[in-house]
Amino acid sequence: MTDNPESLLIQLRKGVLEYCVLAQLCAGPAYGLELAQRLARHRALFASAGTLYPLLSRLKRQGRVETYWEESSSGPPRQYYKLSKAGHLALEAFRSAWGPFSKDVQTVLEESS
Amino acid sequence: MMAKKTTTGNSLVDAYIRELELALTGCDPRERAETIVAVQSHLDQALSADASDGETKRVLLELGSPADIAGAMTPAPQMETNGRKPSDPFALTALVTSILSMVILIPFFYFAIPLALGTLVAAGFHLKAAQANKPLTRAAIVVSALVLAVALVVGLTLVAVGDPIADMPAPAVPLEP
Repeated sequence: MTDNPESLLIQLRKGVLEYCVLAQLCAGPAYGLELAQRLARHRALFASAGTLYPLLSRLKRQGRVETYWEESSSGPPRQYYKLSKAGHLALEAFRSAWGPFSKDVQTVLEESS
Repeated sequence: MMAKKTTTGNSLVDAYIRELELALTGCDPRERAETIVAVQSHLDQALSADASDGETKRVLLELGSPADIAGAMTPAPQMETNGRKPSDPFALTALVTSILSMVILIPFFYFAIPLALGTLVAAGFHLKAAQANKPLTRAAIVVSALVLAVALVVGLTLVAVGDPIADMPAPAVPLEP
């Protein structure tokens, strides 16, 4: 196993990234490009916009995200992604697990430094 | 009225989508179709129908390579859709062999023992394999171990009982004439 920052980030993103996508949809539905542009601001989380779509496809298959098409006034129709009830529940569960988890990691790292 | 123009016909986009379709073969089929539609839609939104090659390349670079996208897909589609029930022909064969050794234990005693022993050892090793169907493999282990236990008891009984029987007529022979 290599310990360069990029491969570490790949490991760390697993299991976290999909909840970040759910969190982004919590405020309201968004179409793919819009979501990709919003997430592109967080470079440690999203290396490239393309990786968003496999996540969305998986979340849809799991029933956590729903999609619908809507006409756009400025181009081709857009596919919107919307959080389902199961998605809201999954996000809530993640929130309650992530708080203590990240706090513990922080504490352990500070104790050992 | 605004025309619903898409990037279809943009050779760079078409080549990218073809490469993506290829990179995603072997992924979960529903996720694959969904991802390709979503990426195509992303490109339709990000690029105008008459986008220059330079602009197209920039957007494709932001999107990342098809291989990167494939890396984020669900890796093992059959495992995911079938849950814990992927077919395991080895475990099934082991179970059939162990049952067979039980059936032939009485008529073919000396064939049944190596068969059960072989099954036990093979199933024992197979149990450690990640893709093994654990309940089926365990069943094969239990059955073959049972056959061996019964064979051991029967064998010991035969040895214990067989000796006196073999010995018994011996003294009777010289007494008879």
